[in-house]
Amino acid sequence: MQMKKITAILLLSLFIGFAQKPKTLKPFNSICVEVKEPSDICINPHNKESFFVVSDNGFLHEMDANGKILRTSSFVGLDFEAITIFNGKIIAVEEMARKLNVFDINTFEVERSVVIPYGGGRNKGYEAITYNPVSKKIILITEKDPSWVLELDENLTVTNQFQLQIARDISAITFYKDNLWILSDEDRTIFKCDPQNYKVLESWKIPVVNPEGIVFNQKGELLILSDDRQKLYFFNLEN
Amino acid sequence: MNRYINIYILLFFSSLTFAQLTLSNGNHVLEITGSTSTYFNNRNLKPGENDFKKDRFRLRDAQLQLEGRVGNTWEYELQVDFVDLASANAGIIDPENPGLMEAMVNYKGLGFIEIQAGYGKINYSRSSMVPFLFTPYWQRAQVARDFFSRRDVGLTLKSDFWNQRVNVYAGVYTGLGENSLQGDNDPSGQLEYAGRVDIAYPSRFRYRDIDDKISPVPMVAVGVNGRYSNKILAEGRTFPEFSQGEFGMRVINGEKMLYGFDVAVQYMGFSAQFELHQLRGKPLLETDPLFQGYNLQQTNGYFKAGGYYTQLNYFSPKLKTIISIRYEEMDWSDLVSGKSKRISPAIAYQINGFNAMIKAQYFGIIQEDPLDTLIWEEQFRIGIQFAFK
Repeated sequence: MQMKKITAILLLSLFIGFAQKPKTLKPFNSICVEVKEPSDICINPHNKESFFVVSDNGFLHEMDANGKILRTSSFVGLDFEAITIFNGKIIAVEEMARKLNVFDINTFEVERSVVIPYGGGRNKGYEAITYNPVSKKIILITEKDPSWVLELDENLTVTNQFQLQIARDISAITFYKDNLWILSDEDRTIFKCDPQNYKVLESWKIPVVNPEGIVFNQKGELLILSDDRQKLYFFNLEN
Repeated sequence: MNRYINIYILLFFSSLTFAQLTLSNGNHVLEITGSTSTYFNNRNLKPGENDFKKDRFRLRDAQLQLEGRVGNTWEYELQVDFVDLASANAGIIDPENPGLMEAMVNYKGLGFIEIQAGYGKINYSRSSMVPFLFTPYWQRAQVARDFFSRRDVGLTLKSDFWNQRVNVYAGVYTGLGENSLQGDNDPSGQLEYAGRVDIAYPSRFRYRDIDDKISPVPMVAVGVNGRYSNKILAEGRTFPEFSQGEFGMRVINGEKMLYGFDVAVQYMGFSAQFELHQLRGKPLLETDPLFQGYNLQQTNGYFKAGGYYTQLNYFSPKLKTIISIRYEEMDWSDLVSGKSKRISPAIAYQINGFNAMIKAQYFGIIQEDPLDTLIWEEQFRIGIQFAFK
């Protein structure tokens, strides 16, 4: 009898899991970007008309709102997969090398590099990074199998880690308007999450091939960067 | 009670994570992965046949793979399958599952083109280039398995354009395929040349059969490829044992031109592949068995062989299930009337993505080629693949 109850509860949980379908969000615009194999994006805090974009082939670029490359760092990494701004500096993450490179925004020179070892698959390493002002931690997430959340202090030292089980993979993260926004490439889904406990508050399916980067522009529009299509898609969450 | 235990076992396995090991010093990255797969095979023999040896469990794979990268310049790969190394099968190399699978180094320092040297997959045939772990099948279509060698020692040049939508490959190899591992070239001393171009739209299309990312837009990839060799043996010389394959046409004493075409599409979890290969052989000797006993006037000095397969797939992320069906035809010689026709549905359940998958495949023979008669009418294969990567 007890066995039947437990089984019924488990099956019901599975059913509820399936039943919570995310809404579908459609882009109202898209532009091609000059950056080849773009893998993540963040906004330039000094000029909100431009963005910093990293690429699979190890380049850091500044790009304008039309997708045109404005400048490129002389430093070439192995494979940049994630980018964020912290304390006025750019942090660009090399997935395979498990390396966080801190760039000066003005000179585009590397000031500091920190290796954070991780034993997972070389293409399943660090894929997403952002600063969470609520917990005052830098959030670093591995792609899949499994997706680990690493919380770093301002010295880029790991202070906590745990598994995130909201999607098949994680491809990007950003912080906007009191929430964490997490992107999954394989599930093509955006998750709006509680910055305290990472609980999913809302989610949206997006019709974008290979979404790898997420950012909000100064108008509050949601921008999704597609690696395979080399495009930036614009979404309006208000509608 | 058993039903409950099964459910708990499934739930337990679905929560497992998979180990892999990546070592990095910040510039040199080495990844260690591997896989094993085991299946049970059952055959329904023709009336009068009594050899049931293929009703068996078989360890298909026990692979270890080392993949590395040094800066932005070098990549290397070493992949071995211990099943075939352990079987020590005296020279017979299963092309789908050879002992040594990859041993190559790739130089990327030129930027616009990559140079790959060593032993590994020949960039010919889309099906051949799809890693086996990413299909619900236990065996590839006959035309992509028995018809041509899939690996060889040689040199490959690779380049891509238009954000990897266009891939171009050109290479030169021993022409002995998997048997090149035995050392020397054949007595002709001649090489085989291969090339491939594939184009995808609207974005790059990975070498995968299943649309596990549920593409939101229709995607298509088209490829053409060819291989050429002209191996002329001096009188009294022969090719190395087993190198010509079961049907004697992997390597021929004479001129061989193999060409193929493939197309793949995917959209919203549905995917389909079509692939065709045609061989035109000009054996040097009129007495060559490939002429099937016909004389020069009857054959005009050449024969043709070839076939195609088409496959439809659907992946349901909710059910973690892949369903596929494949139809294939193979004509081992245009000099002998008749060709084989087969149908093969397959289903796979993902316990943890492609890394842990239960796969089942049915082999149905609709018609046999007179050059390839079998003792069985149908076959069923079920098993599990597990990859630590």
